[in-house]
Amino acid sequence: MKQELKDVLEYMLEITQKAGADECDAILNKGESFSLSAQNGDIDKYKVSGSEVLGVRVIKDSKVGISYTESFDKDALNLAASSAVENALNSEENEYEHILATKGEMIEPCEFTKEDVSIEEKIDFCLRLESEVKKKDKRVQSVPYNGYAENEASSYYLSSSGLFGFHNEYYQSCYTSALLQAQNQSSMYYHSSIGRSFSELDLESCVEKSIYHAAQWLDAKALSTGNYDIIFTTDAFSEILNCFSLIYSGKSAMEGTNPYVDYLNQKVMNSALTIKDSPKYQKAFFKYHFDSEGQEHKDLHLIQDGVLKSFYHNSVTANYFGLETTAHAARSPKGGLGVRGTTRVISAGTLSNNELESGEYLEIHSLQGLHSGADAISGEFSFAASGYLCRDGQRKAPVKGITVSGNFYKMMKEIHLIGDEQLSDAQRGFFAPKLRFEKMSVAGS
Amino acid sequence: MLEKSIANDIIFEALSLGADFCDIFVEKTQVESLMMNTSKLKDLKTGVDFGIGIRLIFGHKALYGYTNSNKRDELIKLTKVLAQKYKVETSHIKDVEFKTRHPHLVPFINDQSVELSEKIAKLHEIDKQVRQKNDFISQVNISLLLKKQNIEVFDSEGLHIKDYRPYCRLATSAVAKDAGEQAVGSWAPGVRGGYEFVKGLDVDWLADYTAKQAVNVLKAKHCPAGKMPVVIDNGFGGVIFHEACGHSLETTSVEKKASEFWDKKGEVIANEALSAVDDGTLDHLWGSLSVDDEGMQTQKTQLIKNGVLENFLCDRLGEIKTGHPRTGSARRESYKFAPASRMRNTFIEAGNYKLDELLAAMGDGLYAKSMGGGSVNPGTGEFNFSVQEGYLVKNGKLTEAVKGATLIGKGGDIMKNISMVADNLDYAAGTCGSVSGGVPVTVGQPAVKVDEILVGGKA
Repeated sequence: MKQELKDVLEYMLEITQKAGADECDAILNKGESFSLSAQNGDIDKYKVSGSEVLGVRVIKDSKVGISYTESFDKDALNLAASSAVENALNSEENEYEHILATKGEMIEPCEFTKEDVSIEEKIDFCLRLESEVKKKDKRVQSVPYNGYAENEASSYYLSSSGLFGFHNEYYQSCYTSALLQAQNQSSMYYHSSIGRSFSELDLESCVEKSIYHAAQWLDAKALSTGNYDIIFTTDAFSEILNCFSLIYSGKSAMEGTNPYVDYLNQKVMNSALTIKDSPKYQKAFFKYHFDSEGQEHKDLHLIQDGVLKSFYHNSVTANYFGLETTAHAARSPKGGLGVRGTTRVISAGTLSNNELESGEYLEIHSLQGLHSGADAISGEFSFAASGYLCRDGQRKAPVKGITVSGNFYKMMKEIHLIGDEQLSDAQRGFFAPKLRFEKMSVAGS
Repeated sequence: MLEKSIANDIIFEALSLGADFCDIFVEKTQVESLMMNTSKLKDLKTGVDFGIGIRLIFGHKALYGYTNSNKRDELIKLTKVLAQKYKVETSHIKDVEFKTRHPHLVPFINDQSVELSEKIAKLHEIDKQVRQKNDFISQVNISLLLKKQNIEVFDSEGLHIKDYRPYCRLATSAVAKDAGEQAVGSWAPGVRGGYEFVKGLDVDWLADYTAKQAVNVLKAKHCPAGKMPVVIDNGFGGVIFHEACGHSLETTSVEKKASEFWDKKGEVIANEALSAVDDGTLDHLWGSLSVDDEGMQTQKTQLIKNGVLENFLCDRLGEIKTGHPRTGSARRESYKFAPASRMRNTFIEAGNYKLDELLAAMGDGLYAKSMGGGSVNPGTGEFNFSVQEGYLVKNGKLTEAVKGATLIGKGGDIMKNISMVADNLDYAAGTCGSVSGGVPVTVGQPAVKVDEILVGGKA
């Protein structure tokens, strides 16, 4: 923690209150990163960065204003303070938003130690992300996307109520891809790894998975259009859930766009399904201790036995609905107050893999068009997909050039089977058993 | 924004350390953002982004760093950190004489300042009108973004150039609700210009368009799945070319052979009915530039002429790696990204047919009136994009509205399947995400007929 940055925050609050704020809080984020990528046996991208940003939120006459700056000289800070107050004066009354009257310090435990790794080792590691892929298969045309990165981010918070918070995060990551081409057919797959230390990065797994799936799909065909049972990989299913994450949002409920707004304590999903937000889940990569309003995170049941139990709330959405905050406030220096989940965990069911994977089904590994092919308001989705046609747990044929379509809200009611083994996505931020969906619409040849 | 003497010191340091080339990108952007929902102004914020990006090129290597500091010591330190691994001590480096150039200005809509209260009143007017259009409208969300980006570029060839880029975008979405079902309609025009653009909008038309689209989608049936002919209408329909072909023509993909067209210059890659350009010089358009983010004057680039691939979109590094000439297409979201070859205003040129002729020639199929977004893997050419508002066509006539359709295919295949091009060219604003971040782009096209494409929907 740097005292000079804490001093900047204290100065910011002082001048903002002098400018006329009734209440205010400020967030200061500082980030440093380093990244590399390789092409044709040499490093082609080498990036070093450092950035700082400070955002202030003002409550004035029950109205809210926000301003931010990336420059910390006094003129820039004064402008940010006066702009935030002016924005509040021009805004409309918001009876629900206040700075929480919490005092004290919240300093999150440091969960990493930096290794002493030379720049040469990092460059060698990055070059191997390309060369190891090329060595594996003569059909590799290129390794267009590969890289090594390390990121450190610190966040400082101070409110006019006297609450100070500090959070520091450090992690490393790597990724690679294989673009294969043969006989006018091409295919590509990409895999990544994340770790707290250099030695934790799994280069071999990135290489193996990229090559394996790209090679399999080089000769893949589309299936006939029809209805198929589908099991998504944990990564693919996590991506689908993220497309529809507004169903948990107290903010979208308040704004009238959450389709579940009128369904609290009613059954909205299969009754065998329980989904929990678990901020300190033991197996998760990131642990979350406090939210952006300084409230301590705790486990929250979102769905219990298919029944909607809660939305994510901050103090504003909680006030609106006459509830207590669930400590899921989210705010960046450049943004207003929102809500955000942490690690989502779907409880395991009772079926063994043998039972879950009996008969014919599609195993979907890769989805494209997630940002455009999903309509969170209506629940309709249609994604391009790649995977394998399987029977009794065995992959029988690679499949690509298909779309998988449906309605998310109906799909979650009609989950066919739930496995008994809990799996995680590659980023260790989502945990779920295998779920089998019956007779989904697939378009192909 | 950055003293010339400091820029000179940075470049001197970079060249002394053996860099073949060095450029400095300085950015100061003022942002004003208003968001309205539940008929209330919910979020009003302003801010200033400021940062400096330094790029050193050693052969084919690009070393890039950025910082929020404009202090000489910090910037020299960053330059040294960047070069630490690749430095080759060099002597006889001369100071750079910067020749300040004034860019050719692409005209933009007047951006004189307007009182905040006037903008808030406009959002209320839009909110009210959309709600009045149909009883099924349950919610309206409106956001207004105003950006004033000032940039400055210095490079080791003596370039010093400044540019001012005002941007204005208004996004409106309407939610229609009936018996537990919801659907959304949206429209989000943007210009290189200021708030005058919003003042000139036809609010009644905007309200009618978004409300109608939401209600049409609400009442729509599921789109049938399978291969079929599709007529894609103008404006944002141009996302088909952007995704299916445009990204594969950026040297960012070409230089890695991660483009199905990387070795096809001069060859037929599309139906002869199709000609396409990427033009950064068009007045007011959201993707227009005076100079690109390497300080080069932007230009109009003919990408495809009568089906033949004529040019790629190229930045400095792309030119070094591929030999294709620069096209004034180096772009980045902000100083936090190194520049890369990117699209600007990309569109299929107008043909001679009328939309009705395309529908009649199609007979039975899908009419995609408006498109959502999409994405592509340039390496394989596999793309996808969603249909926001679609209708089934029987015997050349529109029948029922359909929802949930996605179009997928390979760029090379689809470009050959566009057999008819209408005369109703129009443009639409979008934000394109890629290696150098999200940049404002325009997509555009007249209506086109695709003879066959896979439609994802209900099997």
